[in-house]
Amino acid sequence: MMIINPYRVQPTSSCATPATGTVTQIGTFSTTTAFVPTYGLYNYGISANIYSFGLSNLQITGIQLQVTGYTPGYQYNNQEIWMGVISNATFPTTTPQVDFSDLTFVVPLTKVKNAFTYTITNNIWQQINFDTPFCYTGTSNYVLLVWKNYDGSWTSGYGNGQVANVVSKGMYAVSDPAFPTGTGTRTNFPMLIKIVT
Amino acid sequence: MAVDRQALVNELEQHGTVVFCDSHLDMYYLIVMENWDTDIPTFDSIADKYVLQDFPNQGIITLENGVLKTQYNP
Repeated sequence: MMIINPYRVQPTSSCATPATGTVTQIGTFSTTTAFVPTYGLYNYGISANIYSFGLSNLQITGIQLQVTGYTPGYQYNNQEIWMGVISNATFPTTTPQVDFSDLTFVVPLTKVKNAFTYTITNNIWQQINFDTPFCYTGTSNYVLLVWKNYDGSWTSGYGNGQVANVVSKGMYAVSDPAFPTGTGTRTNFPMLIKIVT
Repeated sequence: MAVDRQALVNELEQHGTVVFCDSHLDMYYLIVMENWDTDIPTFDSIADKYVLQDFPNQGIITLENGVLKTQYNP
């Protein structure tokens, strides 16, 4: 016989702040680049971006991003998205660590989107809903968003993602034999996103 | 002037197998080689003379385990 406790409520999120479906763009469009969200020329890759939200007490339930120039139907398999909070305003060197050991974390990196297939639609804001909402309390101004590409193969016909132009707030690393290790390349082009809260 | 793809392929194949050699929507010109038997400067000395006139910015080049990948941008 199953006993149901009527007083137990299953939480949908550990965030204190409820999600409202609000969409907020972070940053200003500058240009497009192949390095975000991931570089289709390589089997594996990682890109990371530092954002200053200027907001606090958010339950981030997803992001939106916009790409262009992809062959219709282009797919990236086995993608992951991670988020954390750091005290660094920028990546500290031109060759940042792929494991982010050169950053100071206020809130550790958390996988917010489990392995998924990203099927491209060009020139629209494509929304990716997180599996685990990310709670941002505002304890630091800097949020690290990481996109990991574990596809394991590449194909031509990849395009570019929209980016902002902010000094030293982007990085990427690519590799063919296996997921990148060691160091990557710092850029001035963090991925342009909208957060869904 | 468009890239003389056939002449470029003919020269590259002296040093390996051409996996991909073409432009995509004029956004970039992509060359991928397997079994590349020499170094990056040798590749550049061949490819640059065909590609740089139309795609003057070499964005990235890597050579790992004989696989050479490079992208030229407008």
